[in-house]
Amino acid sequence: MADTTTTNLSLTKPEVGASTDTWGGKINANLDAISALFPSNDLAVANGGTGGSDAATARTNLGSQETLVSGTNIKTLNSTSLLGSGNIAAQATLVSGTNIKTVNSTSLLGSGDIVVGLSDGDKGDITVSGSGATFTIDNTVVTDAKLNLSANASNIKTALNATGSAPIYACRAWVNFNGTGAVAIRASGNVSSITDNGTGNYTVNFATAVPDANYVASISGARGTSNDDFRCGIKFGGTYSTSAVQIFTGVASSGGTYVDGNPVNVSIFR
Amino acid sequence: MKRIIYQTNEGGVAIIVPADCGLTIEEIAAKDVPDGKPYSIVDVADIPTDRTFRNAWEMT
Repeated sequence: MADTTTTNLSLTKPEVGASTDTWGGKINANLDAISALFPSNDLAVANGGTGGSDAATARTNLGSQETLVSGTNIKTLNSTSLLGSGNIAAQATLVSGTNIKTVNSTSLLGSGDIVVGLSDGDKGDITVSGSGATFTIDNTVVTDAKLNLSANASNIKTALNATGSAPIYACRAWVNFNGTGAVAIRASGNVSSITDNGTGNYTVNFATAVPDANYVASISGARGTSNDDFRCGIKFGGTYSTSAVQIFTGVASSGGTYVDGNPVNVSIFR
Repeated sequence: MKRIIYQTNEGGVAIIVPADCGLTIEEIAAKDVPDGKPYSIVDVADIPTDRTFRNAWEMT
C-alpha cells in the first residue's frame, strides 16, 4: 500500500508499516505546509482567515463596512441603498426631533395626506422655520392660489378684530385728499390719482380696477373753511366705472353750490 | 412734484394729482388721462393755488 494524501491540503500520509527512513521527512514537509498558512502568525485572508490578530485589524482587512444606522442618517452599504424601491410608510420612530429626513433625496413619506395628530389630545403644528424657508407643495411655493381659506374664516376675522358671525367685506380702494388750494393726496390705497375737474368736482382713479361697477362709494368730508355747511356724494352723470368714480363736494345751502372740500375721504367697498 | 393737465371737453382744465401707488407719472398719465386727450406734465408750482375762479381756468 503506497502513501496517500489528505483531501484538502494534500498532505502526505505515510504508508503504515512502510516509508522506512522517509516518514520523518514527509511529516516535516506536512508541518511546513501547514505553517506556511500562517505567514505572520495570522491566517491570511487569501487562505480564508482575517489576516488580523485582533478584531479591529480583522475588520479592517475584511474591508470597510458601514454602521447601518448612524445618528439620524440611514446609510448605504457598498454604495447600495439599504432601502428597496417603493414608499416607506411614515412611522413615529422616523421622526428625530422636529425633522423628517429624506433618503437619497427621496422623502420618507409617500403620497397622500400627512395627518398631524390623530385626536384632540395628540395635535401638532406644522412649522416651516429658518430664514428663507418656504412651504412648498408639488415643488411650488405655496401662494395665494394654493392657500385655501373659507370666505368667512374665523381666523381672518380675528386678525381684523372683527367679532360675531356676520361676514366681513374688504375696502378695495380709499383716499384722503385736500381738495382746496394746492390739491394734494394725503394717503391712499389702490388709487393711482385724483383728477381735479373743477371746483368741488373730483374723480378718484383706481390703480387696479375693481371687479365691477356695483361697488359702494362711501364719501365723506368737510368744507374746511368757516362752517359745517357741507354736502358730498357721487356726481350725477359722472364717471362710475370699474376704474374710477367721480364725486362732488358742495354746500347744503344756497342751492347746493359746489365748493372745494378738505378733507375729502372716499372709500370703495365691493 | 408733478401734475398732469389736459383740456376738458367743456374747455376747462383738468388736473391729475398722482398718488403714491408705484406708478410713474407717465404711467399714470397713460392710464388716467381720457383716451385721445393731449396732456402735459407740469410742476405743481405751475398750478395756481387760488381757486376762486377755478372753473374759469384755461390752458395756455
